[in-house]
Amino acid sequence: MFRNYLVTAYKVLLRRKFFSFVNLFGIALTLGVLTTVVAMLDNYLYPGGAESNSGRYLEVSSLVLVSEDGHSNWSDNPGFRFMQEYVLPMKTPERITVFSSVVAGTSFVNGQKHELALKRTDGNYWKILTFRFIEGSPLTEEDNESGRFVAVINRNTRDRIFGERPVLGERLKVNGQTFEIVGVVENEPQMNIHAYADVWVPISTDPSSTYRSQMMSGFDALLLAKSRADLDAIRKEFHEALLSFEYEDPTQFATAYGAADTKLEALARGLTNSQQSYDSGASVFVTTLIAAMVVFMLLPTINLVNLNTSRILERASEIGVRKAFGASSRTLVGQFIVENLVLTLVGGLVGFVLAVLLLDLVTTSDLLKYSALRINVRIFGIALLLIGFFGVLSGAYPAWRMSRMQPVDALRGA
Amino acid sequence: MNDAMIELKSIGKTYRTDKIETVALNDIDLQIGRGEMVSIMGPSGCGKSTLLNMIGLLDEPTEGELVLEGRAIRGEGEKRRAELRNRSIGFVFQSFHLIPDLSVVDNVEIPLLYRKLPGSERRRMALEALERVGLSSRVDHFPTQLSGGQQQRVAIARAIVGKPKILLADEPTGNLDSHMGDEIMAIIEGLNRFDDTTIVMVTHDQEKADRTQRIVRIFDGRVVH
Repeated sequence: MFRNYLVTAYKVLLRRKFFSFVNLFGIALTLGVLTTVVAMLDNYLYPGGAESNSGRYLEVSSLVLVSEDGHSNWSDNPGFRFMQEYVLPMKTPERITVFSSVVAGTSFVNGQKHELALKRTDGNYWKILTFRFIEGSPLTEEDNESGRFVAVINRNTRDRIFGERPVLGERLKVNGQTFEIVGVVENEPQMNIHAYADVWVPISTDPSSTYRSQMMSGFDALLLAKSRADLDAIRKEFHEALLSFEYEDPTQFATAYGAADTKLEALARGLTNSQQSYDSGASVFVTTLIAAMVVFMLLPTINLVNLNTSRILERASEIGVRKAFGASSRTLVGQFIVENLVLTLVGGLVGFVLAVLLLDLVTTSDLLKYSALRINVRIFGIALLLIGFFGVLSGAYPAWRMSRMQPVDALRGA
Repeated sequence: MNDAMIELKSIGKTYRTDKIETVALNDIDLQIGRGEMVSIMGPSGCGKSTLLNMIGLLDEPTEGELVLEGRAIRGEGEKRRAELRNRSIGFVFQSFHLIPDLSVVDNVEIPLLYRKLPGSERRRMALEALERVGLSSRVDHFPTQLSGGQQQRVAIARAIVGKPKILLADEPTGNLDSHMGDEIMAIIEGLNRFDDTTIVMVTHDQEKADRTQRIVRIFDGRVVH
């Protein structure tokens, strides 16, 4: 029975080649774009590399200070002083790291200028994030406390500046400061925003000490939980810490809003403008995302519904014959949905290949540095779900219309 | 007639639109015995095909009652009617109604698709039916590669593959020349004679009608004698 359906589906596909092509193109493009978006989100939310244990930590990466009258506010990532006063004293996390955002670094070697992404870290940074070392070892808390001019660089920086050779003990001058290289790690993609950099140096090597007194700007923190079950307790502890927030000039800023978030929550908080609420807006974000995907699929779906309807009505005689020989409406609805699923599956597979090519394009281009966007089983599963949803959505209405046809009318070609 | 295969009791069919009411069949009483071969004759538009469609459960009467194999078909759901069509009735249409995308043998298999049968058994039965109509050598051809007579033989193979007790033929020779028409008639007569299949055939052709056991004449939606 299934073979009979597939043969018919294939023949129907070949009957009007141009329409089939337009149809398949629409499906492939839609599903290709959607799979690319899903893959990028997946790679961001479930990163590999040094951030592969992101499920066990929360990030503190945004802070909003609001004046007493609520008329003025300041929104940025937190400053080092805020971290010292409100984050580092926290008890629930197993470990806490505070590190700077990426800043621009410049290095001149043999008369050649190299632009480098520089990050300043503490020692815990290297214990929470799981970098893969090609040589050497990470920066330590002792390096940070003693203000040692040591640096970890990534493979790309090593290859670019020194060539592919061991570089431990070599010196690298960045922004006028000279660092001794103590470690080389694999490149971390730019989408792994916490791990990404070209050069990592201790926080204490910052040429200016003003960062120590700043409540706002320049730093992020990761709070590692003993287990995922502790994440909520960490959230609560941070929330309570914020309640005791005091600014040096209470008339200027009276309240601080911030949160310890997962990657999804942090992304949602930014996109849904939820910086001032305890709820990150993740559910709103996910719902909106799903709704946007459905809307995006709606246009080709309507197109497909139209095409399928006219195609099915063209096949009135076949429907009449099948009904006359015992096919119930339900069986025929099943047949047409299967046929449509086959069509969508073909389009979906082309779309999947398109997504792989698009991701490859992003990876090889310099759009996102060191990105290695991967398609994994989860993305494949979501793509299959999208295909199935699309197939059923666009096949169900025409099939239902067809099933209502009286056999005698169908045989007459009505 | 106690051994009636088909009984129509005061069957009527009226088509209604907003403005017009058309009576296609009016108060038809008819009994067709098990193993009987009956032809239905009448001028165009008199309701012959409508009558055949009622018997074949392709259409529903607006009045009266239909009894098949002693069982009244009244208020049966769509699924049950489909099952009855599948098990008890075979159709042969004037314009063959073969599915052009499917091969001959796949076309013949169609009624069996809606029974729970393994694929190999369906194929065996379809080949057997094609052998009966003398088309064993054309099983993998497509309908468009066959002559009209051959296409109608495929249609007959499709109608009998499920071994129905009733065969309904709507002008089965109407689109064929007389030689091919005779061949098709011979096959239909054989089904009646050797398999005891009850046959109801709509025809315009008096000569073909004369080869059946009884002629029912319809005029203006009524049986006339």
